[in-house]
Amino acid sequence: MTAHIESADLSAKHQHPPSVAEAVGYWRPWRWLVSIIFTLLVAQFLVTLALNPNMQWHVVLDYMFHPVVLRGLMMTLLLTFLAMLVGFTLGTGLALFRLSPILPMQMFALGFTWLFRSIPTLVLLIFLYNLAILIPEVSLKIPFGPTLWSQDTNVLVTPFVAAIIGLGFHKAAYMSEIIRAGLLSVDDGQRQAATALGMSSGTTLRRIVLPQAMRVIIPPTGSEIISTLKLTSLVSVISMSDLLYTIETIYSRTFQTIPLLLVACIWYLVLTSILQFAQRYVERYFGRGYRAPGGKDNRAEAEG
Amino acid sequence: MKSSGVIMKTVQPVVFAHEVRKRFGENEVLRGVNLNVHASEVVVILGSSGSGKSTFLRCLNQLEEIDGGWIEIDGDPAGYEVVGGVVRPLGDRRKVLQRRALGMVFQQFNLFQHLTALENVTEAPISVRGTPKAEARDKALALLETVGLADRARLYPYQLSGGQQQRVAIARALAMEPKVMLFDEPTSALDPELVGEVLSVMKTVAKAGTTMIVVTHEMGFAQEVSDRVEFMDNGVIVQSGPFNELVSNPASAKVAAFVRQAIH
Ligand SMILES: Nc1ncnc2c1ncn2[C@@H]1O[C@H](COP(=O)(O)OP(=O)(O)O)[C@@H](O)[C@H]1O
Ligand SMILES: [Mg+2]
Repeated sequence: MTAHIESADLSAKHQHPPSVAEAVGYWRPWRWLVSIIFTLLVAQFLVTLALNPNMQWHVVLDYMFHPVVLRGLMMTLLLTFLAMLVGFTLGTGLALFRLSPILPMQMFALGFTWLFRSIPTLVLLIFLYNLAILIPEVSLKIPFGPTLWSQDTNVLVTPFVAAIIGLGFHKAAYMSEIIRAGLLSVDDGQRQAATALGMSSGTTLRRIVLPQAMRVIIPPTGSEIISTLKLTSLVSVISMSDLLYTIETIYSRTFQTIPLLLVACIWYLVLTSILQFAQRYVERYFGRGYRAPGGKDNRAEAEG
Repeated sequence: MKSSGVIMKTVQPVVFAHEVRKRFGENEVLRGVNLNVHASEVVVILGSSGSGKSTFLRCLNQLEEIDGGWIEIDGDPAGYEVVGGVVRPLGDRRKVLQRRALGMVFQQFNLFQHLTALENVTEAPISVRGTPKAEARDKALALLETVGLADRARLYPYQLSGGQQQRVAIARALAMEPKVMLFDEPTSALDPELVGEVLSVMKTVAKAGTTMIVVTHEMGFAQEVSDRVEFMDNGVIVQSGPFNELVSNPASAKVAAFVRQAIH
């Protein structure tokens, strides 16, 4: 039993205590000083950069929306998209191979990942570009059996195809690890519940496991897309007219190197920013059904 | 009705388990379990932790492969077939079809985290049975109504209490219209005040004539709802009979001790 204390028993200063809500702000002079110095330094750097006449902003503006540049930009986007498509599809397959109970499939996935993570993408691209020297003819045949179909390598592996394979395989090696981690992150109880409901392993994967794995897969995939976007600039070595190659072609003619490189940089910046923005929405979509960090609901409608 | 040659009763049990054996490495978990459950029967399995109750339920719906014995669900041999006197394992496709005859409710609910309560219930009917969406939805809403959660249909699992999640899980299993419902300690993960709502839903399901096998420590439920209690100890069923008989006339000191402790 605690004794009941009447307010009359309290001393005068406890009758009407102050409230911290009325407190004044705490003075932090160092924070202010550091903030001001930092802001000034950054501002000066940016202004100097912007006002440098060597930047030739008018040239930048001239080429920013030049049809040739835009065509290069489209090629960069197409390459990024296709490389990621190959990377994600093949990566999912490799991840499933890795988790399969069949040993040769595990070994294949392991070997593939090892190989294409080890070879520098630049070397891989040049290699694929010159594939015809090594393998003059590509054919489809039954192992140790008859040939069903064959084709000249140079016809089949155009620079475009070489670029897609090179970038795509490289991405697949990285994506398979990301997807595998995602698949492993899904609680086994989810699979068991699906199996007990009579879902086949394929349906379970498609409807239950993958959608939940996506929550873990998306954030690193976002970084992978951005890195792919920049990685596509490597294809200029096999004379694919992507953004960078187009820019190089122009400045080798006009010698306006700096402003043209600025055009490329600005475009890469714009695309990356758009991608980062889009990632937020995709993350939110796959984050449904999970409490957001900080305990807030992901969907307002969910409060009911 | 298929004549399997194993049983010759006039009424075929919905669940027929004969000398079921299961080993995990050196650890023999089920050492010849026998159990027959007839249509509309409610059987409660009791037994201390680690005695093999969960493993047995998982063997019934083939989440685990058995090492010996024989299981039939509604006359259909589970996981095997007998062709010309030879016992052969079935392919995965056939096993998947067989599992639909059994609904399972887990201790940890295992609701699909990325789906709302309603979607949890409609998912299997749509993706497994190909039920039209509108039809699956109407039926799911009716089932959610039965478990008292019609107003929570649009919420995600994490927005529901444990008791509500387990009720959704029951509705989800019922949506596939299984011949038997298996419950593996459905209230063990719940706060004490939430146990009652789940048990009352289970009672409703039992009253509707559903064949049920329930692993639980809830003696009140066993006494009130079960037709029969099976006591499992160390991988075998050591006593089988009405609840009151188990209490008044325990077959062994172990059964007596378990009952005394569970009833307080
Ligand atoms: N997947 C598994 N691998 C190895 N041992 C297992 C596995 N599942 C269960 N067991 C073992 O089987 C025994 C019985 O477990 P279980 O069926 O869960 O008992 P109960 O449900 O009666 O508590 C325990 O000793 C447990 O450790
Ligand atoms: Mg158990």
